[in-house]
Amino acid sequence: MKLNRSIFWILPLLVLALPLVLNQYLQYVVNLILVYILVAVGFNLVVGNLGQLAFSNVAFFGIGAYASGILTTQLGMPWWLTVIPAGLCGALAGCAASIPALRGVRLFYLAIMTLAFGELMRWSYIRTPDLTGGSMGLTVPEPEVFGWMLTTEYHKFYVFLFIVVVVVIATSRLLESRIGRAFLAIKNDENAAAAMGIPTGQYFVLAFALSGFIVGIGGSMYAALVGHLSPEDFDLIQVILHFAIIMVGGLGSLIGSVLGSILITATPEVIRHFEWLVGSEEWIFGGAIIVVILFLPRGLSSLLAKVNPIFKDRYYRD
Amino acid sequence: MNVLQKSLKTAAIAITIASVSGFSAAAERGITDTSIKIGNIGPFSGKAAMFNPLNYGSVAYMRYVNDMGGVFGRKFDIVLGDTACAQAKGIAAAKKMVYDEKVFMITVNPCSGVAMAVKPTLVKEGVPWSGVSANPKITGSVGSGGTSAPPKYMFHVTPNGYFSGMTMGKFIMTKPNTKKIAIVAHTNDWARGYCDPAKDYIESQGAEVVLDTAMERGSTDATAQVLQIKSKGVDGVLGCLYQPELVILLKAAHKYKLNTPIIGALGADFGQVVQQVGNAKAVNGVFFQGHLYKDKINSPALEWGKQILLKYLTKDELPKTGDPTHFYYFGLFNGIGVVEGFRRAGRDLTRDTYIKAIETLRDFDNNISAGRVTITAEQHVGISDMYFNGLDKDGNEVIFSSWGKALN
Repeated sequence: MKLNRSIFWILPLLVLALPLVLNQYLQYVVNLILVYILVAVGFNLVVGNLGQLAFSNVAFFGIGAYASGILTTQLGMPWWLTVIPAGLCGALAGCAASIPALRGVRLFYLAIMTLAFGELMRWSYIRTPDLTGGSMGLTVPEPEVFGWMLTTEYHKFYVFLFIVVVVVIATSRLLESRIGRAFLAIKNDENAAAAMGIPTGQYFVLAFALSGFIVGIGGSMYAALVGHLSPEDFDLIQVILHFAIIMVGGLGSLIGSVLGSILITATPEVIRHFEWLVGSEEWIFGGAIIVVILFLPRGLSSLLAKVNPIFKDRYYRD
Repeated sequence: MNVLQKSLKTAAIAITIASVSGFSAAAERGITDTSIKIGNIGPFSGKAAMFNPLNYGSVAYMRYVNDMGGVFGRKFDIVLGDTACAQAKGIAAAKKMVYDEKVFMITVNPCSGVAMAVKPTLVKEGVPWSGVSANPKITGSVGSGGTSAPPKYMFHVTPNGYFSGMTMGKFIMTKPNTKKIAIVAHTNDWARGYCDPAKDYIESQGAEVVLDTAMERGSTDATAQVLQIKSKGVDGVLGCLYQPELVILLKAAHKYKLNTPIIGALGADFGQVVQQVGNAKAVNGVFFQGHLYKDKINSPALEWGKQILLKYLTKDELPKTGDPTHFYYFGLFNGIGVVEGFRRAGRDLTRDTYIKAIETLRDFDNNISAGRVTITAEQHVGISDMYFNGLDKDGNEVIFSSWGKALN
């Protein structure tokens, strides 16, 4: 059977049936995958598409989560009304994180500065207990959409799936546009891109802001899913997790972001089903990442692209 | 006999057998006529894996009870779940227990953030929880660190962070002429769960917390904290730190001649801390830590516990070297309380009868803890007091009931 790109529309429709076959535990894992898909899509914009070694993702994630949590707990807003503000807070943080890059900071220097940004934000959550609950954490009420309480994992799933599909399609369209091509040009050769008239500075800010917006929305979903935010959720372990997702899935690949999220989030849960493996998760997890990177340096998405060219990332529209 | 008669006879026999063997109880999730399914969750991987002896201690006691014939003919079917001490994974572990394994209850669950994150699911599904996490918000009610009635299905048979922290404060305040205290704590809810009640108690006694400084998990040096403490001239230090960081603090305190007692919280194992500091002068008469048990863990009074741990845990579950540590006994302590609930609930076990049974614990002597366990409908934290461990000038372990007052 010859595949065409309509599969990208059919797959989410098929996924709609998942609650019919999953219990709430497995549904929670699927919901967590959906959260990490957005986190990876946003992260990949800066690291994979723009080619910058920036790790401020965890800051965007935390800002989005806490923005959503604070708006629901302190202002009593329903969760669905906090999703876009959480994204906007992430976008603002993205603009701030792009400043070092605008000043010519690159590579390891940019990496360490953006890592520091994440740590700075974690400390901010700890040091503002009136807003964030500080070290004791912030309990977020059950999410609500137009008066409909998302009391089960199944309810959350449909809302999360809608958000993820919209964001992924929008990101795909953006990458297929001249903006996506500009990101690619900057990634390949920043000086050549500037010489061709691409305003690289503006695109840096745009990429970081978009990344912050998407990851901020992911953070808002995380707050709704987990229900209790703690500064420890947004530490360096989270950076490693995000990085592993895009490395395993494929740098600069939307499909890779999806595949990486599924693999990295689901693997610990698969291990959980074998009680004799309890405690050996790190060995298996670390080993699996090494194997994927050794044998598929361009990630799992490159494997799919070999199977069928429709899975290749595109920077043009039909 | 025709087919109809045969069918009726078979159905009648089946109904009789089901009735006799407690059909009603089997309707409750996690219970059969011969088993009670228990979810035992904790950090079996990740940076907090040092806490999993708490899980194994409970496992050992339940295996021992199984060996003795179980409770009312039911044996414990224990399912382990890894939380990695991370909220997202912890929720997955708890949901797997509730929706996949369909356990009767969840137990142990070190890591306060995880316990707080799984609480809504357990409360919603009415799944009993008996854990060891410190955050007073988990089971606390008015008088035990909370602000309202305790959650119906959640309880501590051990102390929570509120009482443990209060006891740290009480202990240091029994030291004569104590006026100024310093706190060194991690920035997580576990540490604040201990140090905030301690701070409140100290201030309520007219002393002053002159320094409340952070030491992050993973820190490899405590020079800055120790020099800060030294500059304040304090009478005592509360270290709400996990084991590696507590060891680092004690080493730095000795290096810079702090000469002030340091009181550790229950996130570190007393014996292992002493061993890892590796310098008698740095701990003798300096390091003290809350002690949950009625005597030293290697004393004849607790030999029975050691024998259970050694007999019912596998080589992989026991320490690689040496005897079972304090954390194993902490787990044992939790296991005894959980099992006592089943004994009191009787054969007709449901989650409601179990909780009602737990709420009948009054001055319950579990033969292990420093204090006796009391749980009521208004108070779901079983223990509010403990002793303190320390070393005398010759390095002998001493159990103190208050400053300078040895138990034996």
